[in-house]
Amino acid sequence: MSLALRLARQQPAYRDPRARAKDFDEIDSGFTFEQARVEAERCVQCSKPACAIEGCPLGNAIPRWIDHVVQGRLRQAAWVLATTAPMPELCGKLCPHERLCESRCVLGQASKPVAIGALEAFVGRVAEERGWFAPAPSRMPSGLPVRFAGAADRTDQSDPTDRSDRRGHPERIRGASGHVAIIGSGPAGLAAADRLLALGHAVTMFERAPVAGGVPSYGIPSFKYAKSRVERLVERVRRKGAAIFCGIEVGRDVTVRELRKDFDAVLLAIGAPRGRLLDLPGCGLEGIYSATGFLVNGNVPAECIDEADRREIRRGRRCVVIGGGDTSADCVRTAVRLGFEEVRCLYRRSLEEITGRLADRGYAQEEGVVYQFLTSPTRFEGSGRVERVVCERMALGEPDGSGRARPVPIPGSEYVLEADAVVLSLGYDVDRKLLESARCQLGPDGLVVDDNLMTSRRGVFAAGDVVRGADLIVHAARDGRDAAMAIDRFLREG
Amino acid sequence: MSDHADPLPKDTSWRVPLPVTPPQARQEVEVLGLTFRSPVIPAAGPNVRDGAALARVAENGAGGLLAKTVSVRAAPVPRPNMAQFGRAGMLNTELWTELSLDQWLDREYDVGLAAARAAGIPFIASVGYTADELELVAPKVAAKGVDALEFSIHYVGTSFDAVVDTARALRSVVDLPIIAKLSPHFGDLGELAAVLEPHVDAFTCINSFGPTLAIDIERAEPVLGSRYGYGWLSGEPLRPLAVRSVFEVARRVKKPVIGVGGVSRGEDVIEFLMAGASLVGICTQAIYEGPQVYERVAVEAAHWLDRHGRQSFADVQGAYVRRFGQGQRVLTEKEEAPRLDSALCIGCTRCGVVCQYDAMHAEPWKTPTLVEERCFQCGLCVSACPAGALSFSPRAGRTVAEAA
Repeated sequence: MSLALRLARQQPAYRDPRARAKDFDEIDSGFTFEQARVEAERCVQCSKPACAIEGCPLGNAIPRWIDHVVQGRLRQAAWVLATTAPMPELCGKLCPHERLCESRCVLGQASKPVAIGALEAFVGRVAEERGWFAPAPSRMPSGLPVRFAGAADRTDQSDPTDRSDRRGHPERIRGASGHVAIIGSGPAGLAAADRLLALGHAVTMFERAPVAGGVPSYGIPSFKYAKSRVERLVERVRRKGAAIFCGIEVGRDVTVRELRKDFDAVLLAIGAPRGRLLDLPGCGLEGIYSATGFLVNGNVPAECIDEADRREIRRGRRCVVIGGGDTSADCVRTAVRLGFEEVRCLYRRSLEEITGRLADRGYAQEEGVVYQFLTSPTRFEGSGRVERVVCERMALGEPDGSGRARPVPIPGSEYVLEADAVVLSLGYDVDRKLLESARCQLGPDGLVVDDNLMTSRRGVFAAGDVVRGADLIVHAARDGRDAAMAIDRFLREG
Repeated sequence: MSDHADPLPKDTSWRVPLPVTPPQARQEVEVLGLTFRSPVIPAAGPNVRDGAALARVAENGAGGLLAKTVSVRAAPVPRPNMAQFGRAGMLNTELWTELSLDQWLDREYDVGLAAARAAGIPFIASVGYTADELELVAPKVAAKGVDALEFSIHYVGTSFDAVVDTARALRSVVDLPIIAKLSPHFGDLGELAAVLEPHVDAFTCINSFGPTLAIDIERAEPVLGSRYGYGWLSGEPLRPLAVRSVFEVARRVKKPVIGVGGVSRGEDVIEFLMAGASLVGICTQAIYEGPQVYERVAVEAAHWLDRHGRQSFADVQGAYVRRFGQGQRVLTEKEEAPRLDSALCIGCTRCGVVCQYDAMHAEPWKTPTLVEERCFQCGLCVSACPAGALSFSPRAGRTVAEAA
């Protein structure tokens, strides 16, 4: 038997569920160096590595950098990763690997697949800590056009020095081949900025929230991905040369049209921020939250939240989360940490159809969360504040448009769940009103783009969830990277 | 095996993804008056065993083509004749081409040459072995229109005279650049190259090393079908010997050297070039990975140039020979213990484990501590450190003792 099959798949050390449910710290510290070596040794270096060719949306050369880890050459491993992956640490921690790279690992047939995700997170973390991804800052200065002179004061821009030099119209920035405005500082925006700076362009980013980072900053709870890691990633892109201005909302403070005049190209990477709502009796009651509202206010210090979005989360004993995606797993685990003793997740289909990452559901169950499948709410009751959720049982019928079995209510199966708080985690949509005002063509999921990720407006590109509708972080990173390449071609060839 | 049966299709359309940004450094190199698309070409072996294989190599981005060695008759190859050794090594008793000279002249060279012309890359043929055989084979091969001829000294004995005679014989019958492929078991390759230099135009270093032996202990049998089960070692385990041989030759002669032996990464290309090679050949890794290896390795090497601010392969070629070709020494007789850049240390404990002098102590996630009086400056921790945090260079930072 070959070495790969003799070695057991390595597991990072997880904290005890009872202890970790009391705080918002990460639940594991990742691989040690020796664990990473052993796990990398499990890779058989198969001849046609489907993990990389078919499994990874970014096309990371997985067997190549794993081979460097086996030989103990972490720096080379990081360099190989960086040639395709804009944010390996983030993807290593948050991708649904069991559906992507690891699902294509040949070892999965006879044993367990190589823990590609945990290995990527390990190499990514070591490289970010040592600064291996950002060898030299771009020589291209980035900055604000004159019209934003006042805006800079509202931002967390850490290097305000030398302003006179960095302001002014983009065409005056010497040395840069082009100046690109990126709206939104989430994974798509950061990936695009990273690549654009590497290609010699100047980049200025605008973020609506007070802190940069997008979903990883606000949507992803810190027990899953520590805020310090997001800050480190943003800081890397900033040091590479991006000027990042927070607290500027497109549509309110500035329009896409104005930006298009000031910059050589504009990239819309504003995600899909609108949480879907339920139109059921009683859904206006106090104590019913959108997933975003719940996660942001439960996880992020109030001073980092835009005033309009700040809400007090009502504490209590019982919390009901509705929906079965990745976000709902984040919501139930946040609820546990906020002190709710009885946390339930309702999903209207069965375990077979659930979309959320397997690992996260496992962690939630370890932390005491109860999953109730084939269950859907019909109304919410209470006097002013929500007190009860009336549910009914479902049965699975014929497949619907998404290809999954359609849930059908079972008549007379209604029952009541007590609840002090309800979280609606039913998916996300793009902000159609904002996008209509940008006058770019809209499709069913989001903005319509061509093969070069350009919208119907020339010079205005779009990447990530704003095109795809709510989707994986790794897809947003891929889009951002590809959009940067397309923008580079556009700026050079017109 | 019969070559008359239809071959199974070989899908080489897939790739381990290459970096999204193409390298900026110039990849072309000029050797023997020929322009190679990159310094990475095949080395003679089953990876270039016939015209179809040569065509695949050309289509997959090799810098040039080199065909498997032909001789007056097909090789009586024993079976089995190849066995994987370790992770990336190989034992073989492959000899030379198992196809007849007529088949090569009628068909295989034409297919290979057409592919080379279509890709715009040079084509080198390989011929063997004795003076008499070369006089018979070489003119026929040269008439096919190849750009250069390589001959191997593998089966010509171990006397300088015999090798020089074969080179002379070849020179007398063809008017093409001649490359001598040297075998490491010959002994002093530097001296051999110096003696051969007037009679050839370039050198290939090195052929596989042997004989060697591996035994299947479950059956008390050899893994190869040759006499005594002897085989010849190639692949990654051969690389330090190959790099040393290239350096040895490059420091003695002015003519270009093709480095062969254990190349599997871009960094290996740089190492061979620094040791004095102008091109590198790949065989074993191409068997394990497929013909995509040539482009991947070339791109990785060019990215290395980009990262280090070099514009072309000429910028690193021979760098090591120039610095150390006269026997200069830098890293010996150090008075100082290794220095640690604690900003780079990842706390992996490897330095503490490998230290044989009980001088280094390391705890997970912490920077190690060193008792300088016990340190023998053996240097193993420096090369074992995965993060490059330890070094003997005074620029790197404080000593381990100071950092702890």
